[in-house]
Amino acid sequence: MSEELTPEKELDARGLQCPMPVVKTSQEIKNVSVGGILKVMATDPGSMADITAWCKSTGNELVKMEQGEGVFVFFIRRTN
Amino acid sequence: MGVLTQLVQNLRQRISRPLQYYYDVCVRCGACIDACHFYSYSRDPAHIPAYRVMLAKRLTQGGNGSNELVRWYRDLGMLDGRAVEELEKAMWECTGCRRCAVFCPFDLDTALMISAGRYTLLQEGIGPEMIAEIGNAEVSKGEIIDMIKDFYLEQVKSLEARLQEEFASDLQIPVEKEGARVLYVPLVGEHAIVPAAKIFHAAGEDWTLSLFTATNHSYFVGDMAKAKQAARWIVEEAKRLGVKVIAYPECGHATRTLFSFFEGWFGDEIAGIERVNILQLVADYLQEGRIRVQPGTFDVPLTYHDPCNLGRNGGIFEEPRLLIRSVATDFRELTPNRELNWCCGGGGGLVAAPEMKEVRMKAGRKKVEQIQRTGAKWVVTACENCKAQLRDLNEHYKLDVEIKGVIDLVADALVL
Repeated sequence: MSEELTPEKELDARGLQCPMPVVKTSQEIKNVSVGGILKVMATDPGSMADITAWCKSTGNELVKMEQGEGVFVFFIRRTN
Repeated sequence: MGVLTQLVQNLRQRISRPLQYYYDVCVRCGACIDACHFYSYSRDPAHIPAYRVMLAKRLTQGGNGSNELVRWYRDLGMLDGRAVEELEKAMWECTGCRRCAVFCPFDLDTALMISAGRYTLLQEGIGPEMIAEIGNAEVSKGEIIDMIKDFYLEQVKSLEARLQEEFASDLQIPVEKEGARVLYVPLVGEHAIVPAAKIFHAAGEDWTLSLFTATNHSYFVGDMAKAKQAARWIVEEAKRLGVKVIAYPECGHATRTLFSFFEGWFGDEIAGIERVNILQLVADYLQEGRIRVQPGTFDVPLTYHDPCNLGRNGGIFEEPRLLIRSVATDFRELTPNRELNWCCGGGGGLVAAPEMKEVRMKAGRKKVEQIQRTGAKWVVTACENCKAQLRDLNEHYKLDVEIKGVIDLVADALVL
């Protein structure tokens, strides 16, 4: 992982169903400084679309998404 | 400009003819007082339906076009915050269940006022912004659909393969199938797709799975422009594929938008496309003999909670009962039920707002008492919002029940 993707905060949203991964992400991003990275782990496949869409509508940047062993990992940069 | 003054200006813009009519007609007879599950626990006037409407009226109406009451509030200064606080409670501590409207001798619809009030308050950042945020993401989903489509199709293929192994080797989950009869719009998560796919397979239905989801959180916050836009993605998909039927899942508020708003929003664009909830489709399958179920599959005592937006506000009362009775031996009604059923306390988007949890638990007391009186071990319902709230109530009040969906029961009792 490159240095710039070192998360400032991590959120474990595994096991949560829609819309809770987005709800928790929205709450947690407020605890990250502007420009900082929030790492979110989720297991609900719908979180992929939900978090991507949430990033678009809020203006936060989805820097990277990884998938593995039933877990979706998002790296989100707080932009505002 | 003070918050209150801005609020009043915004609220005035939302006063439609029906709302003006409600303002004018309500005589504060009080028939709605005991109909509200919030007032039943709080005894707070801000929870009285007629008072909720009165609050808005007081703010927006003044003599000769001026607003003396607002000026009075503003001049006093210290009352500004209190008025806003009271309005916030009146507009947000409501699930829009419309039980009060059933008891109103004039059929006044408090929920319409709540919708306008919520939208106005959120313009000033007052209220659970999370609900609006989810609504915004639902609108954005249509804009990024091409980005996420491949991933979605991959997930559906993998789910299809699993169901072919576990349920029926020739089961299919079609996506973007042109000319299919039914477009099924699910919720996020496979729990809303699996039972439907099994039932469609058993019925031999010509169906296709939507790329979108039915939920519409903008509707909860009264942002009708965004609510319409979120729904537009689905309408465009339906038209592109040439389907005859749009079927919505076990989701109350989404079904309410489908039944009560699509025609006004889309008019001729959706002429000729039937709009149904999945319970109606499945009840038809059963009655037409297109599916068969094993009677008496479940002997556990169970009850059915009428979701407000499916029952009272959507007219779907008998279909779920028909389906439940076809597979269960010990069905017990809640009292009251159907159009007089108590709301679960989690509607109106409140389950998506973490700060509303305590209020939700209090507002759910009537539902808890109803469930306890039946002695049921399963609570069956047909709304995702209700299910989430009922799970929370179950944990909070230690009810020791399980929460089930109607179509889960049918899917588990199918005879192929």
